[in-house]
Amino acid sequence: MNMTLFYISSGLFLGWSLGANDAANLFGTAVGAKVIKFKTAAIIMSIFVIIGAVSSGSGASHTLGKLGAITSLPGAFVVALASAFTVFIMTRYGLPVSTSQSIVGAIIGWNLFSSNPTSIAVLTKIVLTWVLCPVLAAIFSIIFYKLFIRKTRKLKLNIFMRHYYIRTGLIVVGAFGSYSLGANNIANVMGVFTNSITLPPLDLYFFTINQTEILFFLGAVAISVGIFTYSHNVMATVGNSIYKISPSSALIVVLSSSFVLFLFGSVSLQHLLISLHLPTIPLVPVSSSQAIVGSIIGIGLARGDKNINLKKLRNISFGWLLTPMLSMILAYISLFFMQNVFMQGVY
Amino acid sequence: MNSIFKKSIELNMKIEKFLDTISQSLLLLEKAIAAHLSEDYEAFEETFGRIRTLETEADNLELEIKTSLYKFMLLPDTRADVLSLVKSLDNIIDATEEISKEFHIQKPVFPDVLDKDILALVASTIKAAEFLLSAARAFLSELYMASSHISKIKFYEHETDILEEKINYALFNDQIVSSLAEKRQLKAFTSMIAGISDEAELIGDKLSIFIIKREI
Repeated sequence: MNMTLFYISSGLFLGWSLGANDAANLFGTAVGAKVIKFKTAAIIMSIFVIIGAVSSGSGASHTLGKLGAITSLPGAFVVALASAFTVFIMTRYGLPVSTSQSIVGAIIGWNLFSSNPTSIAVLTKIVLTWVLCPVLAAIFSIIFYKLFIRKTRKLKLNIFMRHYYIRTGLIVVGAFGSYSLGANNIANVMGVFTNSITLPPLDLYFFTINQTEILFFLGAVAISVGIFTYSHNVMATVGNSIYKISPSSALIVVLSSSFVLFLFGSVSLQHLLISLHLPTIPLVPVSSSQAIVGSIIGIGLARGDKNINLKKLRNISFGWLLTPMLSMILAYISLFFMQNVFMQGVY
Repeated sequence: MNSIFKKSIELNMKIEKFLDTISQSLLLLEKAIAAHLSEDYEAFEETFGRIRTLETEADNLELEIKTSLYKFMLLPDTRADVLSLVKSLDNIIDATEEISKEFHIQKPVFPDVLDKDILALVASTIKAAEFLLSAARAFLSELYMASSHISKIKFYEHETDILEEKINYALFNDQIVSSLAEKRQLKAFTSMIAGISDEAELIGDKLSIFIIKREI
């Protein structure tokens, strides 16, 4: 059990960094505008990240499993560590990074090392989703922007009611965003461990939680620790574009990016689409930061701004390539060390 | 929910009443100056009394608005901006009272030939302030309309400047006032009247920033 805890620590570290960085996007504006105290925001985020991860995290995790089902615990440890280290290096040098892209690269590194074939179909699906994520976020934010403008003009709300709705909206949307973040991104944190650990189901009297749910719960707790210990610093210090926008813009940006994360992470939505005989949406972990950037660009487009920040777009596409490449190489080298220096079976 | 809706309506109504009070006081200032120029001093005094009452009423309303704003759960930034706007608008009604008080105390005698221009100056400066009040109303309920009102404030402020310069030029160059003391006294009055549009422009600029902050 102690060794199991040690091995999953790399995933928990990844979870911590996800909580510290990505969660700041969801409540950054609300905390900055003093709509809500950081502590209250952190509690809401933690609760909804845990609910999202435990109830709906399996979908995106299943897709990662299809890319490479890591069956050895030391192997999963190295893959998560390589991914976390990539995030650390990229952040250190101020490069755009996403845990989703980093974990995929690390899994491919494991596939190469263990001579496990990488399904091109699954990989194509994942990469297409990454490209689609900011594009969809931009489309949603254009739609929500138009709806918002039309509604506010039609309702003729006075400034006080308008701000009451924005205030409440920021909290509700932040909670929804936390749920979607948990559902979509928990796969990055704990997905690689689901095939390599055997844990007994936990009987909680009213209900039983299975092994995957226990893992996701632990991962979500790590995200929550990241939120509580470090996201406030990120909100206050990082000069990210989300912190400079107005509360009403933030409402649309967080809503549209959360919606994208929800689409690519919700198992229940997939079940609903299947029951309605509609085409399903692939459940793939995507980058919440890139969804945010996409949404901000969407608002700019809806407003008629001609100047799209091409540097930001270039950085995003650069990240799609560089992050998985770096984590793939790191994972490959680390797996070699784990196997030949520490004498641990990695596949 | 209902109580928040009710409170927001009440607060909005108080601010609307405050804006109406300022608007009435501007109209009364125009009436008071016209009465003074036509040497109907009885009508002037009666109007001046009404301006004073309105100014006191506006002060009371300002206090009520401030208290209500703190009770209402607003975004702190919005609360600060609305407070700052109300406080600045109070300067407009203070100016109307101040101008009519100076007319009451000093009883300036403008040459008859300038009457038309003085009335045009008053009308123009009041127009600028009226558009400021419309911009403030739009800021509270129809944000997207506010900018067009602000551009009109600038137009009337400029018109006021032209008229002020014309009157001052005539005062000092057309041999219509004999003593320098009188020239300077009348110049001070035109500056005071034109000052309302300058103040309106300043508040309008502030309002523009408040609007930008709230645009999506």
